[in-house]
Amino acid sequence: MSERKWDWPDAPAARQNLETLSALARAIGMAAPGRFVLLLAKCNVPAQREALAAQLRAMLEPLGVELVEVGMEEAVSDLLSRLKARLESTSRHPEPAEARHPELVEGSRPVQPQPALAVAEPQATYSSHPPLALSVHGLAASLRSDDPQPPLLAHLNLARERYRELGCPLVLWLPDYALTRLAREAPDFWAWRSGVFEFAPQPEMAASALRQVAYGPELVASNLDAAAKRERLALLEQLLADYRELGAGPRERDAQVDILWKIGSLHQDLGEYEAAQQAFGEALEIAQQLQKDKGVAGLLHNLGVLAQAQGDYAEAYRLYGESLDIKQQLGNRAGVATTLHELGMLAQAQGDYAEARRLYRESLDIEQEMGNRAGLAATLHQLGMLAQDQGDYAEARGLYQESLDIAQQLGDRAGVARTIHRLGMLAQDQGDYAEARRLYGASLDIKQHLGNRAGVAETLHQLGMLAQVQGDYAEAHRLYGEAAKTFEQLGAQREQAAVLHQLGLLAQDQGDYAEARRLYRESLDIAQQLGNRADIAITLAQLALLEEAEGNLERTLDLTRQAQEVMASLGHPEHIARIQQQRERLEEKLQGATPGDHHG
Amino acid sequence: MDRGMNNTLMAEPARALRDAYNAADPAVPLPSGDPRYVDCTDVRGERDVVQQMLKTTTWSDSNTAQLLTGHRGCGKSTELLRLKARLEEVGYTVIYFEADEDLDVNDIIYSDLLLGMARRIESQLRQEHDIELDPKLLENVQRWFAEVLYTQDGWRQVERELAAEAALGVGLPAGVPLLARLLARVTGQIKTGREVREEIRRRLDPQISLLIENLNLLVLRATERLRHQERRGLVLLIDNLDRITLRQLDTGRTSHEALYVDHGEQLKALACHVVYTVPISMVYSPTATQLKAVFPHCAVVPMVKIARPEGGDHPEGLARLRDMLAHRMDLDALFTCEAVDYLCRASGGHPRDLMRLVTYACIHAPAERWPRPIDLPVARRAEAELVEEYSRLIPEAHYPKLARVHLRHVVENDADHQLMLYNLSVLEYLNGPPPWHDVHPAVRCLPKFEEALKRERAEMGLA
Repeated sequence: MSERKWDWPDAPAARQNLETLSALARAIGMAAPGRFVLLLAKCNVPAQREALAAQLRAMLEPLGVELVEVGMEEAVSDLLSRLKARLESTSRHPEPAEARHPELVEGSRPVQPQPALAVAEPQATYSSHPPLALSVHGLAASLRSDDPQPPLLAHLNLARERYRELGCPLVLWLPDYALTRLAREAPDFWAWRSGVFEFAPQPEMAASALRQVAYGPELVASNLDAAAKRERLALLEQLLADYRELGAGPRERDAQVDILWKIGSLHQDLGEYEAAQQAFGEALEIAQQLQKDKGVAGLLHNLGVLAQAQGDYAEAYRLYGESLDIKQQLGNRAGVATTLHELGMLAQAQGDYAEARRLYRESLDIEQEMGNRAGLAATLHQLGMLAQDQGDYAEARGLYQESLDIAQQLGDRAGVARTIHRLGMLAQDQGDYAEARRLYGASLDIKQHLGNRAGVAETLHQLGMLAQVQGDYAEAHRLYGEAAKTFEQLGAQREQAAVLHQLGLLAQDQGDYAEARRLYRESLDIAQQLGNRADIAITLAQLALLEEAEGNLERTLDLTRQAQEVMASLGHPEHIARIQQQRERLEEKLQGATPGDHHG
Repeated sequence: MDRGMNNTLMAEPARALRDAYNAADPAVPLPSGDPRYVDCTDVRGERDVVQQMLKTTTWSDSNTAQLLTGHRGCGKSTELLRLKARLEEVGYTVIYFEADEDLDVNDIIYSDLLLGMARRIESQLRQEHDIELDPKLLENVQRWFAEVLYTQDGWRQVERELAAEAALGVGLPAGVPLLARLLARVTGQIKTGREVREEIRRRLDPQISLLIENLNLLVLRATERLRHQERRGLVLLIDNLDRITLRQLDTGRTSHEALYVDHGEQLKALACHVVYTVPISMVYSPTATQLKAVFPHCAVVPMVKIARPEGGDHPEGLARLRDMLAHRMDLDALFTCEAVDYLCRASGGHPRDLMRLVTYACIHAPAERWPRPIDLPVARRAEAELVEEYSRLIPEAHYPKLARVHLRHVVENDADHQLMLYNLSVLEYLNGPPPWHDVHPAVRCLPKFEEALKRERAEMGLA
């Protein structure tokens, strides 16, 4: 990772670490040959650990001990086998494991029954000249915080007796949180420790690690695939722990805000909205304490985006408003443009198209003025969505294409996937199903690679609609089901409601009216909770049609009237026209059905 | 001469420290009769645990099932091995084994244990006591297992494989009965394969009473043969069961409860004396009374008592701890008096923690100072490290409860206290029954503990 030479500046933390390192060297050097000694080393930052290990190796040379470093690239559960394999390749005079009735059992390693008397001398299976010590790192991946029962811990506790067979000192390097998990969850292994060596974070090391991990072109993070994002998250968490240890000075707290911001963004990308909210919230608190207005405004904006994604529109509005105020005070034009854009999305989500257009245009102006092409692409995309919602397909296509061009030039794969998805919807609206399927497929590929679960679910939903329209009900059901499940897991309620509505349409198409009603009702409940008028209106109208199919004309009319009321306020000409037609048709039917009222 | 050490002309102090460092290995239990063993009976409590268990076994007319518990690292295994020797002296044949060798203590249920016991009984009788059980009997038992565990085709396949192993001289030595091979195979599968394990359990569960019957056939026949050899009978000692991971099961029970309480009767159904080790936290769990109902005989290996509950030292205990060290290293050359005393107190009477403290002291001792490189400051340094380690283990919520345990010397039967005993932040002592408890000395040094203690004192109206 770091190519910098490791100087030892004369700072208290460095001096303390040097002392600790000497103690570790002694603990290794004093061990009798063939004796297994368990030593635990705490260090949060990989670059620091590398430097320390190098220094340790230098310290052990005059003692005649060779330090063998073993790094785990991915999660491991049977650490012992790996270490033994490594020793086998290193030791020059391996001694054969003693044959005392080895009982080979099908498919398992040899189980050696221990004699009734435990022998006082350590059992060394390997010995070599010169003596060596194992130094193991990279175990954090096997001890993830979100795993309640990591296999590695069970293995360590269970197989601890067999670690004696290593016959040499073993140093395990772990970040702070992993060391605590080991102590608490593998108590028998922990009980065997001959020392815990804690290395304090050193400011310069942490700062350089921060620079490498946390900063960099904004767009890069959102183009990483899921595994890389998790790796980055892990690194950031470790860095954060270090900075917390380093103290509560302004520089350290500043760094914490930055790191928390990055953590929040990564969680958001992965669809983990609650974790994102927590990180942003924490960052906001610190930023407010530090009176970093620019940071505060940005974080308020991010929290607004999260609130909106979870359907809490009132909260989102409040947060955007606060953010906008600060940005306008600071004269932060770019920031203002972004927040205006989000406010526009909020208005659009609630069906207020006129207001949405006004806000988008304002944002667009600023972005063009500042030459902010990424922002420009995003706002053009939004305007395209607005046009499509209002039925102006040609306008929509033009805007999408403009947005797509810019996104491709910028290498913004997430943006490209988003816009291709919308172009697919456009094709579907215009009846070109083959083209729609092709575009959805392309979008899906990119989103899956990026680990964008919400995006994948959205495209699956659309593919479901496509299948339904073409009469493949089974496939449609399957696709909707997948989409709904993902949205539910992500807490994306609005999207979940939309899929439920679709599943209702599917059921109705197949003649299962009871199921359809249940699904529409479920969708309507969520929409009413969220206060989303467009969604409410459309589901009401659909329920009306259901009632009509069952012959309950009075109920139908009632529902249609309700739907119409809500629609009227929305300014969507096509929907208004449709609902009007529906109503007129119904009223005719009712008149015709009333006995004795039959006109010619 | 030390192999592989470049500096064969090591200075005396460095060598002495090095030897002490290696002698103070926290990981090794002592075999019975080892000269390093220090009899801590009278300083652990008035009753010798081994004596107590011996009496329970020999005085009873019927078969006994006892539990043995004690803190991690208190010397349970050493005591069990002592019990083995004593039982053999008075004429019993003892089968001792460690549960975690054959089975996965991370996921163990009672039927796994019974199978493991079956295997061990057969193999140890054959290998170590030269008792060949009646081939017809073995065949019957083996046939029963085959029926329960396999389909007809499946069994033919397995039989073929086992025969092939025997012919190739692979696995168990030739001439070993088929039952032995079968049991070895099955227990191995239980240990290593999760799905296979579930399958085996599924098949055995409805047949448990028959499993026990078959097991007892072996035991009873063995006992008969032993009597012909003028032995008093058979005793099973099962060590390391206390290391079963404490887990919440789907049924709402813990793994410990499922084994000892829910299936205690099955564990007791063997036709010979049995001793099971059990985690100490179970004795203080909310189901302790249920446990007592199933297993009325439970012996505890307490910590070496170094203080009295009402305050003040227990000098004999401190002296014994000192002896433990003296048997392994040259105390006068290495330690100042105050340093030894300090370390003994800091261990809380926990032998393994004492060894660990000595290890730390050896690492930090300056070899240039001779004699007695380990003085009070070095001892303090060692203690400080231990304190730091304990602070990792303790969740915030425990501190007020720990303060209360320290003031009242009593532990309640709930999940938190269970955890405190499990992670050694609370230790159990016996100065004459009933046992009393205190917080580990290392924990007492923690600032959070001191704060909680202050608050607790205020609430209790003390100074």
